[in-house]
Amino acid sequence: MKDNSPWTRRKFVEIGAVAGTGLLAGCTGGSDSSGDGEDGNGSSGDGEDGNGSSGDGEDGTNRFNAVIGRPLPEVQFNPFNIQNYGQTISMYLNVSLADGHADGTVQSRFLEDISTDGREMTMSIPEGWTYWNGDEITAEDLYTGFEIQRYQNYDSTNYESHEIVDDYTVKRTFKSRVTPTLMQASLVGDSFVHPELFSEYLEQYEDAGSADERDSVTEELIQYTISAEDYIDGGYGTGVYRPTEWNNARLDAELVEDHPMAESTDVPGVRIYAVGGESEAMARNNTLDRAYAHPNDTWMEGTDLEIESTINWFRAQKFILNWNNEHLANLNVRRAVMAIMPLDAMSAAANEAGYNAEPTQLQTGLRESIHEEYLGEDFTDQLIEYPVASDSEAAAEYMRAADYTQEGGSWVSPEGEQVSFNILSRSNTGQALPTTAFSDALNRFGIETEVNAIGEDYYTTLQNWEFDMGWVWHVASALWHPTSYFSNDFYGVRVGDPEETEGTGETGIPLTTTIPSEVGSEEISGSGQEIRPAQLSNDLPASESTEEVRETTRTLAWWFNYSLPAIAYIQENQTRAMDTTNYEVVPDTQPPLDVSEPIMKGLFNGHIRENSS
Amino acid sequence: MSDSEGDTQSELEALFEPQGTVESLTRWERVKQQYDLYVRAPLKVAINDWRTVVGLGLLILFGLAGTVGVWFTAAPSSGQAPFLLGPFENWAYPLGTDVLGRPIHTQLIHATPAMFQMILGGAGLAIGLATVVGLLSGFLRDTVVDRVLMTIADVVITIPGLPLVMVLVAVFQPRNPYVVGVLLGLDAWPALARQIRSQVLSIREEHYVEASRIMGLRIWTILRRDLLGQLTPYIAINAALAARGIIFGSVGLYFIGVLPFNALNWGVMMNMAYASGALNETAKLHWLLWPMLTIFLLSVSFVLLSQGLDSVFNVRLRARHAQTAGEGDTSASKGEHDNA
Amino acid sequence: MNLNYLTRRLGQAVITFWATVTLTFALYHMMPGGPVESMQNIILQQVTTSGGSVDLEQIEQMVALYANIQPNDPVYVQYIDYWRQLLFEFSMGQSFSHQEPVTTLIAERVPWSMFVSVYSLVIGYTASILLGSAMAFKEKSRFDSIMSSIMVALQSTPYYIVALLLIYSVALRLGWFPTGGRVGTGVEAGFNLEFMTSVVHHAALPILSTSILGIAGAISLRGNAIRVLGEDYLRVAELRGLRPTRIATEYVGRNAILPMYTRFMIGIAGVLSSSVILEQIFSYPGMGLLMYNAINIRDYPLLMGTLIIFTSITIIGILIADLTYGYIDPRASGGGGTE
Repeated sequence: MKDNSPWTRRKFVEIGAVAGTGLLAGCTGGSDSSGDGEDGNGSSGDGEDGNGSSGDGEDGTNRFNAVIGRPLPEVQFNPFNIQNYGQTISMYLNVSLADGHADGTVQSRFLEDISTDGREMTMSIPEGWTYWNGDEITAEDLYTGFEIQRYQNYDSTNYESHEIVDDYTVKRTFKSRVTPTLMQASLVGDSFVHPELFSEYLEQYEDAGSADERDSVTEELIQYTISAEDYIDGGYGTGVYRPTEWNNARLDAELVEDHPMAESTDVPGVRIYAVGGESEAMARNNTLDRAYAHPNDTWMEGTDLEIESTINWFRAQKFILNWNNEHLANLNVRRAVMAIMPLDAMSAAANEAGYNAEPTQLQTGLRESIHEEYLGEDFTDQLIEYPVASDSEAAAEYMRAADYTQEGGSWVSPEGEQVSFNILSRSNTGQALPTTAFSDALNRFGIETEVNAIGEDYYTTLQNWEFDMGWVWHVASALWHPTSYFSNDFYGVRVGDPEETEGTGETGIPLTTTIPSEVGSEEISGSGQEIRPAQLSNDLPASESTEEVRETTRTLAWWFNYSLPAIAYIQENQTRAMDTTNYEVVPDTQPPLDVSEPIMKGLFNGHIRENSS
Repeated sequence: MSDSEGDTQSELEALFEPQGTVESLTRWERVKQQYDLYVRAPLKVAINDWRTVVGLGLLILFGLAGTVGVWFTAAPSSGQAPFLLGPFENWAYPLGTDVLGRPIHTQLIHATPAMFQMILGGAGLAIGLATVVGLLSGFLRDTVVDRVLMTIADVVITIPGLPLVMVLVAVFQPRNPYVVGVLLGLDAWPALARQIRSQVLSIREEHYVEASRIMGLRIWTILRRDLLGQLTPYIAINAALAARGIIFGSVGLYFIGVLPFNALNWGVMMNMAYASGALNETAKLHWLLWPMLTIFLLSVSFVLLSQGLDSVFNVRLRARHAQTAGEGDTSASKGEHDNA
Repeated sequence: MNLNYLTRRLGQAVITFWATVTLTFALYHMMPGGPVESMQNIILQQVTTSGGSVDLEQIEQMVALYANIQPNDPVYVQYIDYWRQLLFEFSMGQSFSHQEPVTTLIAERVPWSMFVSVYSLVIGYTASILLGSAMAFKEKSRFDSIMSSIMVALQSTPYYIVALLLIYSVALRLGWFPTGGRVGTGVEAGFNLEFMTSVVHHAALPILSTSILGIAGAISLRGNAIRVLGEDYLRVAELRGLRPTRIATEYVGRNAILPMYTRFMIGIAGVLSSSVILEQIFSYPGMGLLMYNAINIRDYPLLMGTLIIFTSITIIGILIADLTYGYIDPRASGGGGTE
C-alpha cells in the first residue's frame, strides 16, 4: 500500500484473516435477516442444505457446529493467489503466526518469541510442531512464505530481507525503522507455507534478475491453485482440526490428537457449515454451537445458545463527504451536515438491521476504545464536540456562518444555489435504513437529497467518486491500531496521492491544508498549522516509536475532528453466542481471547472444551 | 372469458344493434350511433359486470392515492412517529409505522406514482411494440419482414423474462421508473404481437372474400375501418395483463435487491421488512404485510378489469358479427379470445 | 408431420439459440466495467466476506496481472472463440468467483431447478385442468363463481408473495417444512428413502409457490371447455346416447386440454424465470440462485452461461412440444403458416 511501510501489499489481504469471520460476514450474521445475507448473496455461495437435524452425534462423535466461510470445493489454498483463496477457512485450519488483540497488542499462540531490535525482528519457532503429514515446521517454511511475499511485492514491500538463523529461528529485516508493535503486526495474518508446494516459485524468484522476470513469475504464481483436496490429502495444514469429509455444504474435521494445542480440549470434532441463507434457521433450531447474536435477541431462549462474548470490535461505518461538491467544500456546511446527522437514530436503525452498534460520540476518525491508548483524555477533552442527536439549531448556526440563507424552507448558498446532495448507499437493510434516517433529517432541515442505494457491485461504483456523500466501512485492517483507521484508502480516510503536494484528492480534499495550531479551536487564528494528511497517513505505519505513532495520530485525529473529511456515525461491537450447556471456554487461556471472533479462535486453538458441570 | 350475467346478455346485445338503416342517418344520428356503440353500450355492459366495477373502482382509488393522495399526505419522514407502531393502534397512523417511525400508509401512497410510471412505461412499450409488430406482420404476411419479426418474437418468448431483465438491469442500472418499466415490458410484447397478427390475418380473410364479392372496396380501407374495433379488445385486455406483469416483475426485482433504488417503493419496503426479520418478529410483521396486500389489490384490479373488459368485448363482438358477417359466421375469430 | 415442418422447427430452434448466445455476448460487452473491474469487485467481495480488510492498491496491481493473462483479442475473435468453445468443447469458460468451469457449476444445479420447475408445472397444470373442467361443467353454479373469484385472487398474487406466506405459515409457525436448502444436513445423497424424502420435503414449498404460475390456466381451460360444450357435435354425441363420462373425456377433455399443451412447454420459460427470485427466498441452490449470485458480483462468464442454459431449456421444451403435438393431436398435421 504505502511505500516504505511494513504493511506490505500482501499483508493487507491476509491480515484480514485474523478478523474472524470478518467484516462482511460479521454483519450479515448479526443481521436478523435471511434475505439480507451479503455473504449469502455474494461470492460465498448459497448455503447448500443446512437445516433440520442437528449435526451432533449422527456418526457417533460429538461435534462442535458452526458456520464460517465458503464451501471447501469453491476455494483454493494458494495464499499468493487472492482469487478464490479460502481465507477464513485457511485461518482456522492452520496455526497462525500472530493475532491482533483488542488492547492493541500483537501476540502469538504459536511462536515462542518475537523480539525486535532496531530494524530487525526475530521469530523463534517451537520445536516439534508438525504439519498433518508429519513434516516438522522449521525456519525454512517461514522463510519460504516470507520471501515469496517479499518478491511478489518487490517494489513496495518494507522488508529488506529474511534470513534463516537456525532451524527454528528466522529474522526479518525492515528497510526502515518501525515501531515494535507494527513490526509484530506485520505477522498478523501472515502465512508460512510448506516448501514442497512453493519452493519452486521461490527459486524462480531468486533467479529472476529484472522486474519483468519477477512479474512473469508472479503471473505464474497467481494462476497456481491448490485445491482443498490436494491441500488436505497432502496434509499441508497445521491446525488442531483436520478435515476428513467435506462437500458443498459443510466440512467435518477431527481433532489431531498429538497436536500441541490439543492438550486442553476434548472436543473430538467440528462441523463447519458454509455461510448461506440457512445460518439463521440453524441457529434458531439449536443446530449451531456458536452463532451471531444481538443483545436484544429473544430467540436464544429456546436453544442452548447464550451470549458468550462481546468485544469492542474494530469496525466502524462512515459517510465520506465529497469536497468536490461546492457546498461540502465549505467547512461550515460540513459541520452543519454533521450537526444534523442523527447518529443516535442511525445507530438505532442499524441495530434494527442486526448490527450491534453504538453512535460515535466524538469524531476522531478512530474507534473510541483506542482513544485512551493513542490520544489520551487530555487531548480528546479539547476536541470539538458535535451533536450526536440531530440538532437543527446548531446546524442552522453553521449554515449561517457559511453565509447560507433559508428561503422557503430550503437552504440557499450565497451564490443563490439551493443546497442538495446525492447520497450513495448500499441497498442492504443495515445501510439503507440508517441512510434513510440521515437523508430524512437533511430534508427536514431544508436540504434536498437524492439517495441511491445499490447492490453488491457497490465498491466499483463507490470508486467512481460520483457521490456527494457516500457510505463505506471505516477500518482498513483487522487491527486495533490507528493505521487501520487512517489508511489512505476508502476503508480508512482517502486523501490522495501522498507524493503530491498540490491540488486535491479524489474527494476534493486539498493535499496540503491548514488546521488551527490549537487543538479544539473551531477556527484558524493566526497562521495555523500546515499539514499534508495523505503523507501523514502514509508515514504513520513507518513510525519509529510508539510516541511517534501517537504524535501523528493526534495530528490526524485533530484534522479529522476539525475538517470532517468523513463522518464516522457508528462503531460496532461483536457479539457471539455459544452453546454454554455443552461447551465452555477453557479459563485463563494465554494469550487471552480478546481477539476478533474469540469463540472460533478459541475452538481452533484448543481453548474450548466440553462442559464438565 | 366467462359471461357471468347470462340473463341480461341478450338485452345487452341489443344495445349494439344499429338503430336504423345506414342510408337514412343524419350526421348527428351517426355520431350518436357511434357513441352508443363505442361508449354507452360498453359502459352499460361494464356496469353490469361486478368485475369491471370493482376493478375499475380499485384502480381509481389507486389513481387517486397516486395523485391527490400524494398532495394531501406529507411524505414519510423517519422519526415523525413512534417506532414500530402496530396497525390500528393510533389513528394518525392507521397502518402502523416501521422501524424508523415512518407511517406505513404514507409510504404506500408515496410509492404509488412510481409504480404507475413503471406500468405506463412497461405496458405502453409492450402494447406499442406488439401493435406495430403485429400489424406489420399481419399486413406483410409471408414477406421477409413478417418472417423476421415473428422470428424475433419467438426468440424473445423463448428467453426467460426475469433473467434477461436482470442482465439488462445490470447493464443499464435504471433508476427512472419509466425506464425500469420499459425494461420489464421488453419481455411482454411477443404474445400479443402474435395475437394481433393473426387477428389481422383473420380480418383480412373474412373481408377479402366478402369485400371483393359484394362491394368491391379496397382491402386496405376495410382493414383500416375494422382494425380499431377489432383490435381494441386485445389491446385493452393485454394492457391490463401486461400491467399486472410489470407490477409482479418490478416488485420482485426490488424485493430481491437487484434493482438500485432511490425512492419509496413497495418492493423495497418488503425487502427492508423481510431483511429486518419481519417473518420472525411479530412487531415487524405488518411492515411486510401491508405492501404485500397493496400489491395484491392493485393486481386484482387489473385482473378484474381485464376479465371485465373481455366480457364487454365478447358481447360486442358477438353483436357486430351478427350484424356484419351474417348468421353462423362467428367462429372465425372467436377462438383467439381465450388466449388473452 | 412433414419433413418441411420438422426442418422449419429445428431451424427456428437453431436461430433462437444463435440469437440468445449473440445477445448474451453483446450484453456482456455492454456491461459497465470490463472483466477487470468485475474481477476486482469479486476479489473485494471475497476478501471482505471472509477476512475483512484489503489493500486496494495491491488488489489493483494483482487484478492488472490477472488481466494480462486474459486474452485481449478483438471482440469478433472473442465471439468466434466463444462459439468454438461452446460447440466443440462444451465449455463456457471459467467462473470468476468459483473455482470451477461454468459448465460444471451449471450441470450441478440444473437438475435441482428442473426438478422444481417440472413438478410445479405438472402440479399447476393438473390442478388447473381439473379445476377448469369442473368449473366448465358446473358453469354458472355457485361453485363456478366461487372458484372464479379464487382464481382471480391467485392470478393477482405474485409467486414470491405466496412463497413468503408459505414460509411464514407452514415453515416458521407450524414448522412442517424447512425454510430453505435443498436437502437435509447429514443426509447422504443416493437412492435411499431418507435422501429422497428430504429432497421432496425441501422442494415442497418452492414447488407449491411456483405452481401458482400454472393455475391461472384454469380460467382459459374453463373457457375452452365451455366453448367445446357448446359445439354441435356434443349434442350429436348426446343424442347418440354416449355416456356422459365418455363425452367428458373424449370430446370435451381432449379438445379443451389440447390447446394447453404447447402452452405447458412454453410455461417452462416462465417457471425458470421465477426461479431467480424464488430460489433466493428459499435459499435453494439451483440455477436461479447461481444466476442471482453471478449478477450480484458480476461474474460475467457464469452470468452468460446461466442465461444461455435457461434459454436452451426453453428452446428444447418448445421443440418437444412442437414435434410431439402432431402425435397428440392428429388433426394438427404440421401447423399452418408460421403461426
